Amino acid sequence: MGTGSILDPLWISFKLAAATTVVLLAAGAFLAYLLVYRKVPARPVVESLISLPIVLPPTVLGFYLLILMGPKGAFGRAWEGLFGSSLLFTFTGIVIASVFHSLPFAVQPLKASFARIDRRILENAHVLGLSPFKAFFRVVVPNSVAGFAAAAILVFLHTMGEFGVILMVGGSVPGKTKVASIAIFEAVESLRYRDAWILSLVLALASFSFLLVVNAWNKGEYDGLKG
Amino acid sequence: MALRAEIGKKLSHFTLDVSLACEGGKILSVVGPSGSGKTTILRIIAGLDAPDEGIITCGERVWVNSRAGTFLPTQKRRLAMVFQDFALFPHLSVFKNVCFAARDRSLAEELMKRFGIWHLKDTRPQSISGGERQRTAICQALASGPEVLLMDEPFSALDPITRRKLRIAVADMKGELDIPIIHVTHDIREALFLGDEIVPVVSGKVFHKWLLQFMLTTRGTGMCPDRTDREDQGDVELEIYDTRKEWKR
Repeated sequence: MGTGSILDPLWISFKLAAATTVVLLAAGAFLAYLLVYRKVPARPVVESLISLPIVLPPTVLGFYLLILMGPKGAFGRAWEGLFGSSLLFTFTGIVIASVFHSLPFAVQPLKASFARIDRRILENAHVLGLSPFKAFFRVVVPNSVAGFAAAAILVFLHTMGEFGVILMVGGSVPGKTKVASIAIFEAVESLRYRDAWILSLVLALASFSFLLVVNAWNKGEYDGLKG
Repeated sequence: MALRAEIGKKLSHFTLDVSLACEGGKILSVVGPSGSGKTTILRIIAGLDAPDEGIITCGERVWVNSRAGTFLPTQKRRLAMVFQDFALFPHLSVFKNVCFAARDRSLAEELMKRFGIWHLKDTRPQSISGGERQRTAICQALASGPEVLLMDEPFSALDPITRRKLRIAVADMKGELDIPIIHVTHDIREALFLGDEIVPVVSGKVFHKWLLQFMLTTRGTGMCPDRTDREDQGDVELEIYDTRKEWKR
């Protein structure tokens, strides 16, 4: 295996993480908004379902998604009817699976961030003539920058390290669904330790650098008592 | 243009049942002790809460008619509200706060200069004093060009000197605005100072309206101080507060 192909899984992991982050910032913000500002029927059920991927073994979630997105699953059939191709073992398929798997990592920080916003300022925005949609972009989003940043970082890093769900839904198709964590597993299984070292090191360094930037950005917030 | 409201709403300890009417260019002061339902009245007029039953009209426009199932959303009522705790946008500078819903920026600038906060235009609300924040909130409300202005205990968090200055500023501008202003306070002195009409509310009901109307019509005659000397007359203040105690019986 050449160096170029070693780094291919990293590139797929990066693309997957970026796509999942973009989708989840929008979907997570929508769900968090509903949970914080609207009456949601059967709220405990909805909140439990959103948080389920945190506690569920990835293989269990992956199995359900495999059934749902497969040719006999409702979602898989609908997709095939619309686009004429299967979702399984495709990049789009693993993006959808990742979105479900990382959903709580987007919703929880956004929900906490929205809940911290003083409701009066949102009411003031409505009183001043803004619809809930406009108030969301002009008041909620600018006052939740930290929440959006936290959600983006958590989702991105969580997706970069995804394994079980991706393996179940996407398999390990080189150049399509073989992400870094799967490539590392396969390298170790076939005793290609050099490849495993390279991929692991790049993944570890990238994750550490990401967190370092975040912690440096937050420096001073918890500097302890002074004086 | 006049605002008329007949409101009925069951609250946890009592039922709110009031009728109000305020003409353009006038201030109607709703006065009463804490927990009497004053803020709920404003929130219902603003559309932030819905009444169980009632009718609210502004000129020819029907905002609420519970029988007909009409409920105009807050953002379509063309009103502004000065909140008790300011409710300014923390992510915006003072100028951008005032411009938030302003029809034109020159009006925002003019108002800020008039209320003496133009020098704070680039400062965030969290870095200015309570009085300055309240002036910002008033400018923000006025700059939006409302058809009705609601003020919820607008001066309660201010020191006496700032409170006096702002009361005078609000009293001076009401004629120019020519819109109904509904002002809510627990301070009878403030209601007497600002209100063209006073509606005392206790436990959700209009209570002994004639008493405060009497005070209002006799102000400056010795029975009640007028606007120039009211703030300095401690004896009268006590007398008025005694009246308020009477409400609670």
